Formats: sequence, C-alpha cells, structure tokens
Amino acid sequence: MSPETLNPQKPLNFFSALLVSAAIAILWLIPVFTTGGPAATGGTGAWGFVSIIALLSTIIAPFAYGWYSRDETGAILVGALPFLVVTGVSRIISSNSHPGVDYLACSVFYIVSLSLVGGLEGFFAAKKTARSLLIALLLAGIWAGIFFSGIT
Amino acid sequence: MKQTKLSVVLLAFLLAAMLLVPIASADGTGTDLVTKWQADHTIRITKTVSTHYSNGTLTTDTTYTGTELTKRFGIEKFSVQNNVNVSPEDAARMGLDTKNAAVTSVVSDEVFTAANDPPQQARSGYPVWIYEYSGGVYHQLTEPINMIWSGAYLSTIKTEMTEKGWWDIIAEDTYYIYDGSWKADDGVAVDPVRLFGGDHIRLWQLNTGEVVGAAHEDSSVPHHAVGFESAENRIMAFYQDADDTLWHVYPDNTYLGNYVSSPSNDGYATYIGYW
Repeated sequence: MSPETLNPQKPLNFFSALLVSAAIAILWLIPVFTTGGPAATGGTGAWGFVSIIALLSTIIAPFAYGWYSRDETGAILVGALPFLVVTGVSRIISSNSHPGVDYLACSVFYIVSLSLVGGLEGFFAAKKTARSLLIALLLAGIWAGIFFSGIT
Repeated sequence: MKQTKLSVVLLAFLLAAMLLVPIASADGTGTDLVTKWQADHTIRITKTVSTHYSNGTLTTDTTYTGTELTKRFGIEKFSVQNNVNVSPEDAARMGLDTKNAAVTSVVSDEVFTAANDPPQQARSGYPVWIYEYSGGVYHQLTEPINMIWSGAYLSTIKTEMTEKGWWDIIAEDTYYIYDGSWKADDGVAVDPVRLFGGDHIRLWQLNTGEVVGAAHEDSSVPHHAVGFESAENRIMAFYQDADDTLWHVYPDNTYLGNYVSSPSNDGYATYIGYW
C-alpha cells in the first residue's frame, strides 16, 4: 500500500485556507497600522513581537496546515497567498515611489520566489509522507533564507 | 633700531607661519587627500546581480568583476551572496534551471579597498562612508554617515530611540566603518523585520568616545535605502523632546562631504551633544 493511499488528499477547503491566509496577512499588518504606517516616527515597540510572530507564522503555517488538513491546494494557497497580499499592500503604502528597473526586477523575483517556495512547502507537507515532510521542512528553510536575503 | 627691525622681521615670519600651517594642514590631511584616496581606489567594474540554480545551490549574488579588481587585490571577483542548498530533484520540481537564471549587469565605478589599506581620514576626523566586507576586501556603499553624537554612551543614545518604540535587536546585514580598525555596526530600527520598510540606523562608537550613525529609511522588502535626510530628521527629533534638557541638537552642523543625489543626502551630519 503506497503512502498516498494511506494519506489520501483531502478536497480543497477554500474557506479554511482563506481564513488562515487572512489571519497571517492581518498579523503582518497589525504592527504597521497600530504605529501609524511605515513613515511613522515611532517604532513598533511591543507590537514588533507581532512582526516576529507573523514571520514565524508565514514559515510554519503552510507546513502545519498541509500536515493537518492534507488539503494540497489549500496548503499551496496558505503558503503563497499571505506573502503576495502583504507585499502587495506594502507596495501601496510604502514611500518607495520611484524604484529603478533593477529594484523592480529584484522585487518581482523576491516575491515570486517566496510565494513559490511557500506554496511548494504547503504542497509537500500536505502529502504527509516522511519524505515529503522532509522536503517541506527544507523548503521552509529555503523560504527563511530567501526572506532574510532581502532584509538589509 | 637694528634690534627692532629684526624683531619685526621675526614677528612677520611668525605670523606668516601661523597662517600657513593650517593651510598646509588642510591640503595635507583634509578634503584633498580624502578625494585623492577616493579617486585612487575607484575602479571600473562590472556589477552583475544574478539569481540562479547551479550544482545543487540556489544562489542570489551580487558580483563585481574587472581587470583592475584582479590587478589590485588579486581576486577574480568580489561577491556578496546568499546560498541555499536544493537537491536536483527538488530543483526540478521547483522549476529551477540554469537556463532560466535572472541576470542583470551594469558597468560602474566603485570604491574597493583591502583591509590593510583603509580609507583616508576626512578633515572632519569622522568616517564618511560605510562598507560591506567579503574575502579580505571592503566595498564602499553609497550610504553616508549623517549623524554624530558627542558626550554620551552608545547605550544612552540608543535608549532615546528604544523609548520611542524602536528595536535594538533587529534583522540586518552587518556593515563597517574604519576608525583605527574596521568596526562592525550596531543597528537600531523601527521594527525587527521592517517588511513594510521604515527607519533604520547603524551606529559605531569611535575611539574618541563619540558615536557616528548612518541613518536611512528602508523600502519595503527587499530593502534598499529610499531616504537619508528623512530618517536623519526623524531621529534628530528624538533628542528634542521637552524633557531632553541635556541633549543639544545642531541639524546639518558638520560637513562630511558625502553628498548623495538619490536618495538625497546633503553631505552634512547632524551633531548632537550631551552635556
């Protein structure tokens, strides 16, 4: 009996996936809006811990959601959607109004890479075999590596 | 009478010497030498930003190459990179392929120096630019020193920022200045991650006891500096609260000559005293 037979994929639970994605996106947005936006003088203070929780959630959620639900499509959404939404919002509210072509290309690659890796992390976690879980963990590490390459 | 004449001549020599010494000093140790050092260390390079998959590694790197780089430092290239191991099987699943590498390349003039050939001290006595490090070579970034503190410990200076909700433990790259030796920065920022961007300052305690800072506003991720003066002005305001009787703020007081066109930096540092 193959591992796939032992752990059959569950149908897409669109509502749950969206709910988890929305929760992660909201976590990212909380510190920004509680302190008055990116151009605010003051720092995020204790709300900064929410940034750290949001970061950990973005890494862990696709794995946890996929592992728990075995919903491959939903796990892909949880891995890809929150970061896409949040970085989309950040482009709207940030003050970087005249980015160069190089920066735009770099941004697109950065965001697409993170969304792709996050989605794949969820996909492999949802398969729930020892090998796929290992791959999902590796992808979580890759996600963190790519993310921190953009924090200077 | 003869003695009086001799005295007048000696006095004239003394006055002339008093006038000439500062002028000679200015030429010998000041802006001209710094400019000369900058010119001597500026080399034409090809800057290549590449993101590709090769030999089991997903690599995003910025590489500088050029004949002068090799000639001066004995290195083929100066690279700052991020590597992540990905097995060929996973790479195939992820659609990573060497043929699909994203590469941009531009020729520019940039300042590089060996660790044992530090930048010339500016006339002001303060470091002027900040540097990234790789393989024994320092690369000067277009990020200026724009704040100076005097009379206060680094911890006291940071306290004024953390009291405003800034974070002392943050995610950042480590950059350097030269102050008798190469010194790594101590960063403070509005948020530990700054996903949406925000102000960020790197601080260094100098041997004189003074502290210098390179303040900038980060863009949303991936970060790059979108403002120098804006961050300088906002940080400066932290030391101008009604209860800040010991802090004395002098905006754009010290000329460092590190003008940047975009984002704008006027070449002057804000000087903040604590007395």
